[in-house]
Amino acid sequence: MSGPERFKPTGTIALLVVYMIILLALWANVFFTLISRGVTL
Amino acid sequence: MTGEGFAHERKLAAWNIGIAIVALIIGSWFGPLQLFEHAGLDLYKYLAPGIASYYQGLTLHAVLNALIWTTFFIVGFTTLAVTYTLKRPLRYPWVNTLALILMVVGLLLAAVPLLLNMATVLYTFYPPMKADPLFYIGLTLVVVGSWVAGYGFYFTLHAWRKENPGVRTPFLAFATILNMVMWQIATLGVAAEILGLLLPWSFGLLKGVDTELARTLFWWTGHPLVYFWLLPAYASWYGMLPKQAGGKLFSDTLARLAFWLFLLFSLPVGLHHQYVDPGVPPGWKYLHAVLTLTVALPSLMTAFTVVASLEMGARARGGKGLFGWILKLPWKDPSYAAQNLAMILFAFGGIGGITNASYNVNLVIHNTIWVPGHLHLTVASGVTLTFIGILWWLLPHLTGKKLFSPKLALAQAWTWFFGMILMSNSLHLLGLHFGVPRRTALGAAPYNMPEWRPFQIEAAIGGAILFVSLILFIIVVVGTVFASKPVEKPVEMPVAEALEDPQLTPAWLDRWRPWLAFVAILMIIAYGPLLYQLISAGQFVSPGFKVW
Repeated sequence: MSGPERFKPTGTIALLVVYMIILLALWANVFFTLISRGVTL
Repeated sequence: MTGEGFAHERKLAAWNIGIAIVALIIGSWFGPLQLFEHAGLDLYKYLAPGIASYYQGLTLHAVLNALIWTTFFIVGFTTLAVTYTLKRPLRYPWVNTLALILMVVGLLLAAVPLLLNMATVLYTFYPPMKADPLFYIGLTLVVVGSWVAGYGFYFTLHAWRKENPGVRTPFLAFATILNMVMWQIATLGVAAEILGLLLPWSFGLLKGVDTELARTLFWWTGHPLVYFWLLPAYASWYGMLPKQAGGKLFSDTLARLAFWLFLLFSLPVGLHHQYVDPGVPPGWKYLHAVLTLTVALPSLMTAFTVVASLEMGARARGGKGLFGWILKLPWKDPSYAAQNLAMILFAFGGIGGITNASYNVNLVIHNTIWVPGHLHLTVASGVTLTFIGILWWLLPHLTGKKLFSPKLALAQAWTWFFGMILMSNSLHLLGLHFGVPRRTALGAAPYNMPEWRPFQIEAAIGGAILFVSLILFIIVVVGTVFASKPVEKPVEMPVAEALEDPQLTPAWLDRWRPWLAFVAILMIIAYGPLLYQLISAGQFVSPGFKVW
């Protein structure tokens, strides 16, 4: 692992994908709470 | 025997960090009390008349933990990081000594009205709540002292650059000094607020105050303040933690670029705290919403670079699989574990931050108890638990004594982690689903609903665990300083090497002027016309109130 070309941070990318999914799910949860209250109607 | 360094600088750092620790310990006692009060257990009556109300306790909690602990720790940490990595003493040590004196005098002046219940205005000190003039003078001196400390670091960096032409500034010195620059620009807002409005108002020289203008100036500072707390934590995650994990900094270039982007985009974002303020036109709020969401870019770059650096260390230690390498990280090292746990909590704080920044979605949680839930994942976890993790190598480094009971230090980190999970989870849910207000003695509120109770009890349990964590923190700190054995060999600052030679990092990432020019332009665009409008239409009429 002497250079970035040899080290592929596959675990990091997998973790970030999981993180983005959680982020989107939680953000969407709040968004739908907003919609359900009719705030933007 | 102590770690390598310069005697005067180490003494300055020790004073700053010692004061910070005392502030954290005193301020943290009031945190669990608030959660117990919400759950129906009012312990404030036992603190009277010393502490007059829930709100005085809340003010002390926030001022001591969010302003004093952080500012003193950061100045002390920066002193060490700059001189250790530049391998030279401060250019003008008297400047940084003066800075410490100013900060201490300011702290003492502000403490008088805070303790006498003459400045129970919470840490945002929104007018028309009015504090004693000493409170404003004291806070001003703390901020001015931190500016002076910054000047000391700039002189030192300037001298180093003259001595080392063409050499890239060591990352930790670059990152921590950039933070001081950001802080100096950020605090122009609160300086204008205090010196132009609040101080003359509190002395009776101004009959009234314009609350909207004051809030806008406060939030010029208020949100970048979060980044002033965060960037030193990031500096440790980028520049120290990989070393502790047995790895290297994955990309020096990405790390520096992320810090420049933080300088640019953490500043013009204050209006996302004012989405429901009627005096600020929607266009300006929208602009700040976009700029706030732009901060996600360097944040995700940070997540990638830091985790990749740690993964590299874990795989070097034999870690395998897509996620299995995580188990090979040095979880038994309390300094490492505290900082990694801080990162995990902070990641969830970041998700809440995206929600807060979203212009319309923010309406669901604005001014609810969700906000302190968020703040405790970011500042009280991401930042404070990282700083505590830093202390677990820094105290032995400064004192020359072994860390008192690494097992207790490890237990401290985990109890903080689980306590914060329970507390923040319940606060987020109370705010989101029930619109429970923040900054309120809910136990005494006639509208406290039975449906809130399970969450309030969950938060109180979290508070109790955090109280245990605080006791463990005190035992480890006091034990290390006063009752521990000398280290066999000096404890060095863990400085991570970059995977590639930092000299290969592009030179434009080590030049200050173009970036500072971008910052100035962005701040003028984001705030100039709005402030002109607010000042020219200013209504300096609101009298002051002492409500608690």
